[in-house]
Amino acid sequence: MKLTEKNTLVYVMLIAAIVILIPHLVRFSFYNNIMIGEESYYHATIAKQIIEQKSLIHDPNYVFNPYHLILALAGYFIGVEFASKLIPFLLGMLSVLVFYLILKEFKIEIEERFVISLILIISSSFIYLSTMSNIYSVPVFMTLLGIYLLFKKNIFLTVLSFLAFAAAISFGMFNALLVITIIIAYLIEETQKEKVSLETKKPRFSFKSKKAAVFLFMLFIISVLCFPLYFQQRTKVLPAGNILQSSISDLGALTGVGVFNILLAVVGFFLIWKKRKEYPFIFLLLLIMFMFFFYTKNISVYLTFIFSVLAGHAFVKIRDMGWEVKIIKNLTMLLMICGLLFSTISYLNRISNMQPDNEVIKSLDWLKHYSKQDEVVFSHYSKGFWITDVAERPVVTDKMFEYYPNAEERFNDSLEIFYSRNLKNTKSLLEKYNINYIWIDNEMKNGLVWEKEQQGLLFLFRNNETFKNIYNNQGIEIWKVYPRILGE
Amino acid sequence: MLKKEYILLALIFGLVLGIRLYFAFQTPYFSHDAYFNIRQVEHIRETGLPLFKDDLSYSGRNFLFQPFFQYILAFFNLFMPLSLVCKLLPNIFASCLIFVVYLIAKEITNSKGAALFSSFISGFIPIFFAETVNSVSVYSLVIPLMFFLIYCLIKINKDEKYIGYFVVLIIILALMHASSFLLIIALLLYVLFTKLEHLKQRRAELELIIFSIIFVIWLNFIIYKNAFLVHGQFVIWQNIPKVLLGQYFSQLNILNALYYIGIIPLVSGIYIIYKYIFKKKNRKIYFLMGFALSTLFLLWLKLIQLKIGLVFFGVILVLLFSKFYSDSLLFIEKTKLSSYKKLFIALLFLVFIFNSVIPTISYTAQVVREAPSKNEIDAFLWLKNNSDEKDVILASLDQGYLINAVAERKNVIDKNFLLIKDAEQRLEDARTIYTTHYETDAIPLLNKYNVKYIVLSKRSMSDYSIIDLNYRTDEKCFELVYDEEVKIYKSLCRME
Repeated sequence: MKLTEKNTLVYVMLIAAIVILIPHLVRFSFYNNIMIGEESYYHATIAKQIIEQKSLIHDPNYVFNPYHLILALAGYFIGVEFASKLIPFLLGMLSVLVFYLILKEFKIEIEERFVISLILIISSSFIYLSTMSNIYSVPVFMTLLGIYLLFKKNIFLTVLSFLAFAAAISFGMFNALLVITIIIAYLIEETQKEKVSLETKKPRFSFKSKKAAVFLFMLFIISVLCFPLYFQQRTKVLPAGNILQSSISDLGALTGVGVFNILLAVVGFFLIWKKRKEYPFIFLLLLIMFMFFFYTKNISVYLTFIFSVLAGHAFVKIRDMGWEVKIIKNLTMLLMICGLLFSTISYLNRISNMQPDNEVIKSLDWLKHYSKQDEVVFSHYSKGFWITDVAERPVVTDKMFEYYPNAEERFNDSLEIFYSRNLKNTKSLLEKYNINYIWIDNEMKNGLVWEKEQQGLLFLFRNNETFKNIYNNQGIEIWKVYPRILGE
Repeated sequence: MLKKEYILLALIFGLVLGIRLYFAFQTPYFSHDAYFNIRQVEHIRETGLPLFKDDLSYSGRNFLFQPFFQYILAFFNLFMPLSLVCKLLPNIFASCLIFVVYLIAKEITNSKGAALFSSFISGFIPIFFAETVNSVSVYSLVIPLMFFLIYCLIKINKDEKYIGYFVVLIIILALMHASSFLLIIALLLYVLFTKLEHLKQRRAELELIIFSIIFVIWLNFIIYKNAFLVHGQFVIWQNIPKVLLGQYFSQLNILNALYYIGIIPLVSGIYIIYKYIFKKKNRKIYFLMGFALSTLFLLWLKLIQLKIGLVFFGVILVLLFSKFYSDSLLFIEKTKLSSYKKLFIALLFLVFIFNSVIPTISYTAQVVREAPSKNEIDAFLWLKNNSDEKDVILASLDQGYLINAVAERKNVIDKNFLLIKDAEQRLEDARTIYTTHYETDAIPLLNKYNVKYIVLSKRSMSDYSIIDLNYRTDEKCFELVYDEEVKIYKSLCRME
């Protein structure tokens, strides 16, 4: 296969489309086309509410994100569920395209560009970005677009670049800092070029420098204006996960980086360390991303682009390092490719078969028809979004409950309900939150909540005056609660 | 005609193997941990595949391990009885270390005397000798193999054929045990030393190192991926319960090192490391230093089991001793004491006998004494013949593999904790069952794990500091079904 300017981009886009479509095809074939994950259902619920109310959500507990407006807008025309799949797909494809063009802008060799793009496409964070409805795909694309257009001299494109950056800023504080860092890096690069130009007696400040300075000022103002959007009242109550398991995709992270990707990126980092003055972009962005990485692991959706550049560079350098023993070279290259591909295959398999499955949706659909609209359902917080979206019933906790008032109390009460064997306590808590139904699945019974049979609430279910099993299918149980009948 | 040093080397090999086999055949049984490998070998022999999904261990679980060593034993089991294979082969493998040490020592010292002396010492590293004599341990082959890999790397500058040897052997090593990671860290440190000291490095050497790093990481990641998913970074500690962690990954102290490695290798090895860090440069010594320092770091950070770390450390120090020995003799020759050179060697030999050979023998005798007794094995054979195939048996942690291998029944707990989510709980529950005074505590726990028989041996008595089960008097619930040196109680009650 001879790579040319014409065919390389086509190959890259084709491979990206195939990789992104795999989870959708699996869901379509085996899971009735059900959306993947938990987060998608939250965004879908919000978008549906926006469409229904034809205005922004006024709930004080709602955490605003511009993605909900985009999803609602698209959902208004094509349906929220379809939009939840189409938007990440399109933005994923466009991100690859713009990323490829940025690499070209940086004058990276065609082969290296191809390898970098491939490593990006098969990275788990990119697959997450492009297959699941999430709040990152828009700002990632906007930032990439902003970077690409930033290098253009055309005034119209410059305005577009500014708009793309401004749009990205509204998605969060990290985006604001990232955009400002990009402009600073750009300014540094241009200033360095101008130092050289000064020696050749050229004008002191070029258009690019002026543009960067104006961008910096205006984007800073926009960031300050967006400040109220960034800070939401949040009580941290959920236990912090294992750092490796939440940042390495091979160890179970949904938005993480693969082991081989990290390994190659580390090599790539050392390889370009000597040229750090030529690439302020990479090093400044890495710095800001690592600083935020300790705050939120989801930064890996941005980090994956930098890691792909470093890993791709390392891959090409290792391949071209003038091997003395050809067989060792071939074996090493084969191992690296296998290492990268195995992570991808395993991740694709994981997300394609991720919950919820048909049984979960069936049970929630059943609950929707069985229960009344204002009746409250209790379950593990990780099941909250499904219940709200599919069964359309309120829940006590979901993954956003840290933003609710009395989050700590809610969390402790839910633990008390799960683990207490004291019927009186449990009943009073069920009454406190007006809980009418309890929804449990196999995952909850096998370690997510309970380790043993007859533990806590599972033991209390034996009291048929308070609890009545109304649904039991494939390990999913729904219990109706009658706390008030016997409430002393 | 054979060269004199080869004859001497063969004699050393014969001596070491002879002493090893003498100890190994002191008992017809193996140390407790050996029964895991013995079961795997039997299974491979019968089905051609290792037992990755086991219904007996923890009453049903999955194993994660590299089975190459077990395949080698299973292959020999085709023409030899299993007990002979398990007694003989690991000891032959372990004794082969003396050849590897001889080759490396000769390379780094160019002295046949130093190489022979070092190879002799390597035959009597107390910890390596005792830990591999009767335990069917994978380390009996891993250690010689790993050092032969170092030899191949040293030799590739002179002979191309060692590149091929290295590739094949690193693949075998990675398929044998996860300790291949240690070699990777050692090689990385070696590269660091050569870069810092601006030493020339052949391209092929670097290529082999890159290949090894990628291959070992890739293979181990594939094998242990599920374990990483379940335990995260705690896989390094093999999910060993916190109560036991201190025993396995204990702090390195100088007395331990002196006892398990011997004073001569320890002191001379440390001196050589000092000398080649601060005063001299030598590519070959840097291989060993990389190894020594990586082991030391891992021991210091408690990332490797103390005994295993000391085994590696012991062998490296013996190799470094060879350099010390040859340098010392050269130095003596230059002084007025040159006429006392033989006296110096004799003195060194004497110290070595006292400090390494005698501890080796006493430590090994102790290890052999700790192997299961005939009474213990008889009790488990009784269970095999008198219990139902589905019955679960509770014994002490050490006897877990014996329940599976000898009684062929399910156990509650054994020493392989990887992928066991409730290992901590099971260990605690087993202790409660043995030590509680109340049957109301014991019966629910026995019911929880469906335990039908409780084995009470000297080992469990000493482990739990008891003389009998405190609640045994209730004969309706606990029937004494086997009453020899080992007692077996049958659990009859259920508590709702």
